[in-house]
Amino acid sequence: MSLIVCLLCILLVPLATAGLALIQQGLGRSRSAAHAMLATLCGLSVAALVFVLVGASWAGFAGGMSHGVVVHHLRWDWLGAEPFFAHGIRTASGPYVSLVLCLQIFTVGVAALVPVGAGNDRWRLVAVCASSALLAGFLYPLFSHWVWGGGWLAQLDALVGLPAFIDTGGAGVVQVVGGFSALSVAWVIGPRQGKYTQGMATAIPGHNIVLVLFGCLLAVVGWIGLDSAASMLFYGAVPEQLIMVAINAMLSAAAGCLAAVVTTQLRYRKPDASLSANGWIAGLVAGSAGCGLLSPGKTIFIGLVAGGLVTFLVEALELKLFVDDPGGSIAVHAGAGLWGLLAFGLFGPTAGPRSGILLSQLIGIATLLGVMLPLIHIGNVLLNKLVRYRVDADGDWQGMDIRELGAGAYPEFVMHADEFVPR
Amino acid sequence: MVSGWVIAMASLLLLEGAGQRMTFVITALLVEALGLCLVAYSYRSPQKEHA
Repeated sequence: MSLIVCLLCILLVPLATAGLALIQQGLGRSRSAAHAMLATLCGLSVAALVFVLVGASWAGFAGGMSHGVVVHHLRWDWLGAEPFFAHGIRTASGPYVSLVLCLQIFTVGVAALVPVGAGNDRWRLVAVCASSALLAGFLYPLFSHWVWGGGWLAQLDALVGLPAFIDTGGAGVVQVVGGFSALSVAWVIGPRQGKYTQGMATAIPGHNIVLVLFGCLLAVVGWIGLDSAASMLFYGAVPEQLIMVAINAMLSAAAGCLAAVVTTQLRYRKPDASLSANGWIAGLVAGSAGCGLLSPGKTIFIGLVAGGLVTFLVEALELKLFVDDPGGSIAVHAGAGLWGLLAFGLFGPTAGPRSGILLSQLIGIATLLGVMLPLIHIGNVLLNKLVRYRVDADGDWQGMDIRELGAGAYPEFVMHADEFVPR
Repeated sequence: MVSGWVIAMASLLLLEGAGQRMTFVITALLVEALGLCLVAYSYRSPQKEHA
C-alpha cells in the first residue's frame, strides 16, 4: 500500500463533505441557510471528536482486538475492543492503523452530515450535535467494525461458507447508515410548518440551486478520494486500480444525473434541477458499493437505475408517507446505497456461484434494515426525550438563522412570504 | 424488522443449501420490509394531522 497515495486520497474526502453541505443548505430555505452550514460544521466537529475518543475503539480494524460471541465453536466478531482515546495508534506498528483512523474521522463526518439535510429548517443545533455524537460514538462504529474492521460480515466465508459482504466505498457503512439516521430524524421531528395542508403537500423550493449544483461538482472529487482510500485500506487495492475507481465514480454520477434529468423531463415536461442534483449524488452513492471492482458498463447501469429510482423515492416519501426531507437525504443516501449494495451482488466479480455473493450482499442489507435502522431510531427517539430535537412553532416560521443564531445568512435580502406555492 | 434479521441469521446457521438459504433470506427481507411499512405508516398519520 502506498502511504502517500492513500493519504492524498483521504485528504480529498472533506470535499465530499463540502459538496453535501452546499447541497443541503441550498435545498433549504434562505431563512435557515447559515444555520444549516453551522449545523454541518458542528456535526462534523462533534463526530470527529467523539469518534476519536470512543468510536474508533469500537470500530477497530482488521486484525485488531475485538469482542466476540462463540456460536457452534465459531467466533462471531461483533465489536472492536481497541483502547479508548485512540491510544492504539501509538503502539501500532506501521501507518495502517493511523490511516484507518484518519479516513474514518472524515467518513463518520459524512455519515453525520447526511441527516442535516432531512432536518433542514427545524432541527435544533444542540440536537444536531447530540445526534452526531450518538452516530459517531456507537452506531457508525458498530457497522463499520462488522464490514471494514474485520467483523462478522467480513468473515462470512469462515463462519458460514459465503463470500464476505463487500462495501468497498462505504455505500452501506457511510451512506445507508447516514440515510437511516436522516429517516429517523425526519420521523422524530415531523414536517415543516406549512408543508402539508389538508393532506396535500406544498412545494417549498430550495433557495439556491446554483450552490446545490456546485456542491455536486465538489462532491465527485471527494467521493473519488473516499472510494479510493477505502478500497486501498480495507480491500487491498493498489494505486493502479484507483484509476478505475475514479472512472467509475464519474460514470456513475453522470449516469445518475442524466437518468434523473430524463425521468423528470418525461414526468414533469421539464428537467428538475434539484432532483437532477440528487440523481448525481445517488449515482455516486450506488457506485461506491463496488467502486473499481465493476466494469464501466455495469457501473453506468447502476448509476442509471439509482438516478431514476431517486426521483420516485423522493416523491413517494414526500407525497405518500408525509416524510418532509428537504435535502432528499433519505432517498439519495439510504435508497441508492441499498440499491448499490444489491447491485454488487448481482453484477460484482465472483469466483464461486453468483448465488453466494448475492446472498452475502442480501445478508448485509438485512442487517442494515433489521439491526441498524431500529438501533438508530431507538437512539434518536430516546435522545429526543433528553434534548428536544425540534424548534418551537415560532422558530419554524421565523427561520432557524434568526431563532438560533440571531442573524440571517443574507441580511441584505428582502424576505418575502410567497415562497409557498401550492402544487 | 428485528425478527426479519433473526430469520436471516437463523437460516445461515441452520441451513446448508444455497437455495434454502436464499429463500429464507428473501423471506426475512420481506418481513423487514413489512416492519418498515408499519413503522412508516405509524408516523404517517400523526404527521399529517400535526401539519
